Amino acid sequence: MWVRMDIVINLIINGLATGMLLFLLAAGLTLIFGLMHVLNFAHGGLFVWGAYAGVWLYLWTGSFAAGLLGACSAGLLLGFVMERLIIRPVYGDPTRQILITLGVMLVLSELVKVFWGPNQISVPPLDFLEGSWRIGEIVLIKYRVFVITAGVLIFALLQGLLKKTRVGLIIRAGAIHREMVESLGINVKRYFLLVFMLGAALAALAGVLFAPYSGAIYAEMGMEYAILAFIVVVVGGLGSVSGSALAALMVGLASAFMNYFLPDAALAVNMLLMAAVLLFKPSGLFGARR
Amino acid sequence: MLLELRDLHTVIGRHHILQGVSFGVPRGEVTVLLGRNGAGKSTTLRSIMGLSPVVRGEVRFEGEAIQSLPTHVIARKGIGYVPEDMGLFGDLTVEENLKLAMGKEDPPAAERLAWILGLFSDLKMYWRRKSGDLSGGQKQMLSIARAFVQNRSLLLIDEPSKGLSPIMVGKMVEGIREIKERTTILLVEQNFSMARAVGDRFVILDGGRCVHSGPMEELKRDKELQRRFLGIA
Amino acid sequence: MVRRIAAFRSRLLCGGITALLFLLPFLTDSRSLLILLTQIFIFAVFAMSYDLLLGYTGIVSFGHAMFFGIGAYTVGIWMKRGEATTESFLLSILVTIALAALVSYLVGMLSLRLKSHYYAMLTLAFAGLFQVAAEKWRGLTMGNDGFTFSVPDWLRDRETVYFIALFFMIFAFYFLLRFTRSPMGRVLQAIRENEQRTEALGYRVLDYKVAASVLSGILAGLSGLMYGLTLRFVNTSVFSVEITLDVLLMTIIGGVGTLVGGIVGAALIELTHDALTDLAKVHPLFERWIILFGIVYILAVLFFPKGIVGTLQNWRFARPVRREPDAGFEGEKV
Repeated sequence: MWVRMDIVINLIINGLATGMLLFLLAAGLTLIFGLMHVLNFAHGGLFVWGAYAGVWLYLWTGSFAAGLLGACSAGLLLGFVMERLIIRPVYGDPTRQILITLGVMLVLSELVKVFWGPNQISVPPLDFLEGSWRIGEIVLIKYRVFVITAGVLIFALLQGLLKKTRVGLIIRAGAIHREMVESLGINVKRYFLLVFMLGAALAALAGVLFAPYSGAIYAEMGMEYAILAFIVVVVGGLGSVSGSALAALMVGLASAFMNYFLPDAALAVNMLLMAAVLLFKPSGLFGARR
Repeated sequence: MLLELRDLHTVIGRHHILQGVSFGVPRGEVTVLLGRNGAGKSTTLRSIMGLSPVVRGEVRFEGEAIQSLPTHVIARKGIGYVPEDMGLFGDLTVEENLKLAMGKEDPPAAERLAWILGLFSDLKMYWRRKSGDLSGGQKQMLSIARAFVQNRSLLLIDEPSKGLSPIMVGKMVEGIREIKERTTILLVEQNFSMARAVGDRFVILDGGRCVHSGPMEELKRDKELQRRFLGIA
Repeated sequence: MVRRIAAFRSRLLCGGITALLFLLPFLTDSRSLLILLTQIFIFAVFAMSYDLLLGYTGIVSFGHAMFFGIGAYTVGIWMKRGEATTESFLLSILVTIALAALVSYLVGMLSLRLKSHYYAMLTLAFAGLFQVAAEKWRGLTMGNDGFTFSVPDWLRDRETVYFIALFFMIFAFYFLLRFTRSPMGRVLQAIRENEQRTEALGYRVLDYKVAASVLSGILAGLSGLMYGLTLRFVNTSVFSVEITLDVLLMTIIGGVGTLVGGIVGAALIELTHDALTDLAKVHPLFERWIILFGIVYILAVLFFPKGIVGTLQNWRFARPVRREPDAGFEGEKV
């Protein structure tokens, strides 16, 4: 009994940590879609750039904090450039948006290989977060708990931004009825850039947090995790941050458990989840209403 | 004339909806836009607001041409819009809907808010409820209140009586009568009895053009006009 | 009048090129040229099938590699399991058609009634799923390494395969041409222009979209089958994102909504592939040629959304831009 119990707890912690990372990735995606109606297929590229930029700085300076900062800056910068140069010209044209963001995803993934080579880079564990705590039979890996804490913190900050500030109010209203917000005299386009940069920074952050968690980073991880992020966003409801949070945890836990018991079916289970949601409640668990 | 439309043409997709609309909205009065379904009344409001594409013609507000300006700029020039579907942010509370509209919460804004809440007291009761939970009439009140609170010199209101019970329509009529003391209104209405209750002037649209206009008294008396263009036997 | 002359000229051009392609194996000894052209024909069909979705119906799919892979693996597995006979080959064709139709039907029914974003996401995810499945199901697919297989003797000859591929492309082209000009094809284009209006006119849009998706999937599957046939080798790369991106590039650069664009795009991309792979031996920079393609693709979507063929068509038949709506409008009002 006890042996199974501690494995279960381990899996739960694993799942929650993965879930938090997925949440960071999905939150940006869902915010961008909610306000701008742009589904950013390049989000995975931001994820992988955050990882590489952050890890590079971390290895160079020895400080993980520098890595975190570097990743966020990379995210903000890439987000800015992308929104201005690529997204702006194709507003209102969903077909071209979808096509072009996938192109950017490709370019970003390949650029990583240009700068850092095609092979994966291993990431050493962090000094102060290495190892684990023991509570009786249960082993809690420190880094995973850190990721969970970071995720909860960011969720709280995001909710605070959205619910308590005017900017958040505009973003929420804009996601529901953009035309009406404009009719009230507010220039919604100005907030597009803000939201895009925020989303990009979140994705990059997820990338750099992911690095010590998995021990290695590689160019293909962008697309892999982007697919999971899409699943999360569909299940949670496009445009809903709390929906993404819940869905991310669900998908994270499902992945963790499946990877332990039936690793080959992990992706399939998540896809089934997405298919089920699309069949029964396409607007997701927390779809917005007018 | 606070607002003037000159030979306005609006094309949506392949539909040439407005085919040369021209009329004026005098300051301080309620002008009612009437006409059958499909005549282009809602499209006219949307065109003024910059939400529907104008291909030819002019919209002059306070003497300034606004037809090619972006919507939020038009709004800031002093035009408020209450759309047919009310355009409420359903997941946001009554408070949030109004706060969003208010922007800076300076004394004049606060005064307007207090005044309109006095008129539509139901809104005070539902202050923290999600606006999607309100009844049809209350939603309409909120939508109008939201536009009013912004200090606009012209309010465009699209079919406020739609789907409302006769009692609510009565309340709406009272409300608009009060509001018109403080701002000019361009009203689209299918409901002729409401139109004649609040309107000072009328404009009839048919086939994307303005076919008749004048003081409301004239329309009240002219049964032939009513029959021909409004389908009122 | 100008139109008729231009149409005649382009028919002449097409006829000339087709004749040249038929005569080519007799005019040259170059094996690599034949192989390259065979690839171009195969990918041209792949691109045209994608154009049916994107250019004519307005559906964005990111999982087209799924069908390509299904075709390639089907022929591979059938040839390997069932001995390389002609019967097996014909059977593999039928199975490919059935499987591709089934998958495209299911995926289509699941997500085509939703916004375009969902279909794009879903197809991306499904393609990923197929790739993972191919990797894990080693018993069937030999995983990443893939496997070689033999084909019936008469299909071993390079020239035979060349002609089959050429016929395949010509047949697919004419079939799609007739289809897009048929009443059904017109409905698909109406859906691309304005879905809501088409629905309002009484057409069951979902049925049409699914039909287009199934037809497109079948053609893509068949092109995958041809691909497997020419290579006599298959591995998980047939399900990869690169294949999907290739077809995207071909369709967009060639020209969406013009079937010919698919052929032009396929030719361009394959030729460039070839040239750059050679150059890569000279200088490692060219190993990352995918970035070049990616950038060209982005520029194309931004500035030349109509692609090569589309832009050319516009230049030829450009009418003076009218500023005022003319009396020809239907006059339907809201």
